[in-house]
Amino acid sequence: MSLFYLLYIECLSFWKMPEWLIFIMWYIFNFILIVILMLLTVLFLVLFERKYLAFYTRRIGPDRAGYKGCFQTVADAIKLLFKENIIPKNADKFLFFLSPLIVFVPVLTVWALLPFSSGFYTFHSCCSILLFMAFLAIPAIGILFAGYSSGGNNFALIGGIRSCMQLIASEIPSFLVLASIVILSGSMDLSVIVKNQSGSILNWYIFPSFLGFTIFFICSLIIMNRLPFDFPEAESELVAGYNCEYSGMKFAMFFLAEYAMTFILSALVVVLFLGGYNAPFDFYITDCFNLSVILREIFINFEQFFWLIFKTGIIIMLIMLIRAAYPRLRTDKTLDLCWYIFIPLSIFNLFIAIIIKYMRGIL
Amino acid sequence: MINEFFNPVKELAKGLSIILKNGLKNRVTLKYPEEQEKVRNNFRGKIKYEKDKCIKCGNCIKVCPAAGCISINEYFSIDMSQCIFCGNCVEYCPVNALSHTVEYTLAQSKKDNLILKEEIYGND
Amino acid sequence: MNNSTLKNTTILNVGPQHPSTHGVLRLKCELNGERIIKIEPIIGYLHRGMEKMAETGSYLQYLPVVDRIDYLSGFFCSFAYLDAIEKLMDIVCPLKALYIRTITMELNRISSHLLWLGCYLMDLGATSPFFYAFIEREKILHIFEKLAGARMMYNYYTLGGVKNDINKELLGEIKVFAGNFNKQLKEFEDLINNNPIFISRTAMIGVLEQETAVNYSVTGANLRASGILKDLRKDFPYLIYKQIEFDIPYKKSGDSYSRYIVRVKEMKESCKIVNQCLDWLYSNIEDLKINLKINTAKIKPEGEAIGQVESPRGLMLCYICADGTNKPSRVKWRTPSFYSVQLINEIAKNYLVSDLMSIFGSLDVIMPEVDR
Repeated sequence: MSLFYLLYIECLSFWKMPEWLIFIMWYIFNFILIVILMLLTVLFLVLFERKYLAFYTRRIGPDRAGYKGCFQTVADAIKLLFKENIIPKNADKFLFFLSPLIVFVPVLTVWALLPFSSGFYTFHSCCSILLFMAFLAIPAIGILFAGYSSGGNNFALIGGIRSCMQLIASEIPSFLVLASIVILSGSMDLSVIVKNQSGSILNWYIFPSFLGFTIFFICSLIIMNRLPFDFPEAESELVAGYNCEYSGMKFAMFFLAEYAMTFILSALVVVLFLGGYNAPFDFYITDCFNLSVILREIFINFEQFFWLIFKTGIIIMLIMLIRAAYPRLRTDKTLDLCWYIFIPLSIFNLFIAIIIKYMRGIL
Repeated sequence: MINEFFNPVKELAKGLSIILKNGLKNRVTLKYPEEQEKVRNNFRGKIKYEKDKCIKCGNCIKVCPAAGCISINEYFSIDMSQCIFCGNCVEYCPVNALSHTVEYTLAQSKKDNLILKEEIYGND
Repeated sequence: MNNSTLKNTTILNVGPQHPSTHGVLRLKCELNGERIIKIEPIIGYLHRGMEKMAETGSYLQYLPVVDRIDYLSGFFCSFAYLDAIEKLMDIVCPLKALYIRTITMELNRISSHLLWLGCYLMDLGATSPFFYAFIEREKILHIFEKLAGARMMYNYYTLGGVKNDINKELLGEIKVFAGNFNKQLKEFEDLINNNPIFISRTAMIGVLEQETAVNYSVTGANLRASGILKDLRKDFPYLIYKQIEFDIPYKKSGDSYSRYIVRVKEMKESCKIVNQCLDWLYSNIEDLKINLKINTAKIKPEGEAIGQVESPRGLMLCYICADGTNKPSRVKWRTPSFYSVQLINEIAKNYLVSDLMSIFGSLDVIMPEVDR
């Protein structure tokens, strides 16, 4: 039981609520918090990417809405809300409506599994790492449905098929890397994995499995459809790929899911390899001040949250820098990369992890 | 073998470094409505007509590639929606009654406003 | 999957409105999975009747329109047209006009290739080089704006010379540009040339065999990338190309990558030519006339002539049949992109959809030039 939950029960017990209601309300609060967090992150990320890409291409980027364009994405979202919802004539209407949800909901759900700090995670599971990857595989199905149901638009269809193709190719090496992490930490629980990396920067799993980090990073690029692997919506080939026929809020959902996925996968990379919410040194800044126990606990949670976001930010900046620099790979080259290079390498990485684990046991 | 693997990685890293270096260079964006580009003197913009100089020779009509763009009757009129800003009429005007201005923001909300009309024999 | 078991193929309509067809080209692709079986380019969406237009107006009226044939290299079009008339009327332009024409055309070649470079990398998915290329191109357009009064539709050449004189300030500006350009180009090459992703997208993709290239009468960089060293500037030197030292870059493999390399090298050579012209213009900045000031009423040529120019996309010809009036009785344009666009079925067959744009982009096709 985390500290926040105890505080929450303390607060609510004033009103003498039944216990089951308190229990349900806790999840509802968490859900609302996560939705707000996600929306804010996405709004920020979209703006940040535009500004960041503009920085590298010697432009200014959006600067009209609000102070230096800070409300640009809000304005875009409002515009999308008022857009006409166009449905192609031959579209499979049920799937056409369903597929944005299939893409969006699992990505949102995954946010609940991430340990944002030692006290704040919504859903605790002993095999959250498995759940994480299982949920992240679902959006590809949604993308396939979106492509299939777009009323015979071949661009969309090809985009949808491509997403499934790269899902299968990238899932295998990334799961093999995950296996090595599970072996190293001895747990499938993300919060335990993070706890095992605490102490100092040297305990992070990037050092025993740098290879795994590289593979997982590139595989996560493939899973989140970012350049240089954005085949499902390769703009210059498939116009907009699977979301060719989508407009208005349905398009916004795809858009939201894409950026939420970018964030959550970067966060997963941080959790798995870069120590998650742990500070890079062996103490927390909060400890430098003399605080009472409860205040310290609260502030440490915020500091941990800060470290997680900070590290995730660095990963996201790297992802966006890669987007700015490189052309798109070809689909079959990516398959070759995954099947012929990454899978053998990740098996090799697994062996290294086993050996390290074994050596640690001996020493 | 090792080179075969590391050279591409090195090149990829070099690409990133060039992109990063470009980020530090100065900005090139022009914030359009506030900052406008200074146009050069011989810029071919909106056409100016001086009725005092005009001798109604009709050369401008003859050399204009957009048929129907210029017309001379009671009025001298140029349809700016058809004008392609080639500058032929200005160049071949024998008395320099036509000249270019540097004005280039010519968007109008009504099409009629695009037709430049000027009376030739106004106050005489 | 075996081809014979899967009889149903997909038809994919790329275009007429597509981000990478650079205009309104429709490519009707027959796909088996993602592999292209057949491509049929369908053109004509941008047909403006450029040839018929010439017959309705006088020679002078047609001159500004000519720039619109290829909006990225307007100087070349107007030169080809004027070259034909000048041949008919036996006009020899003053030397300074020739130098100014050369320098503008070479700058225009650079600007056209820069736009191609940016768009080509955009087609491949790289975003940043697009902006870097446009920043460089903008500098050239500024020079053109000062010189000719317009950024793209110049209408700068006239019968027997050019319209405005070049001044010292402008020469200095060109010199600054030409000085920096090689450095900038080096940056492009560092960024792109050895990028493994770029190489995997372009090398040995869309190979244009020499024989095919000759059969389709392809010209320009596409031909030279296939190993045939043909360039009008060397073979039949016009303007002042005889006095100028430059090389014609060529490559043997004929794939997309070599087409890219040839174009980048061509920009370097153009920069060299610009520098040599600058030297001459600096020493002869004054006292020479740039224009013969031909009486417009006397433009009534008779006979047939062909004006030719090596445009950024290849050999551009303008055939004029004149009948002694002030209107040409027939004008025929041979534009290089028209021949390149037909290649697409030949060289993009049996590649993936992803390769279609990398191959098509490498041909440097400009749609208004195809449809005219």
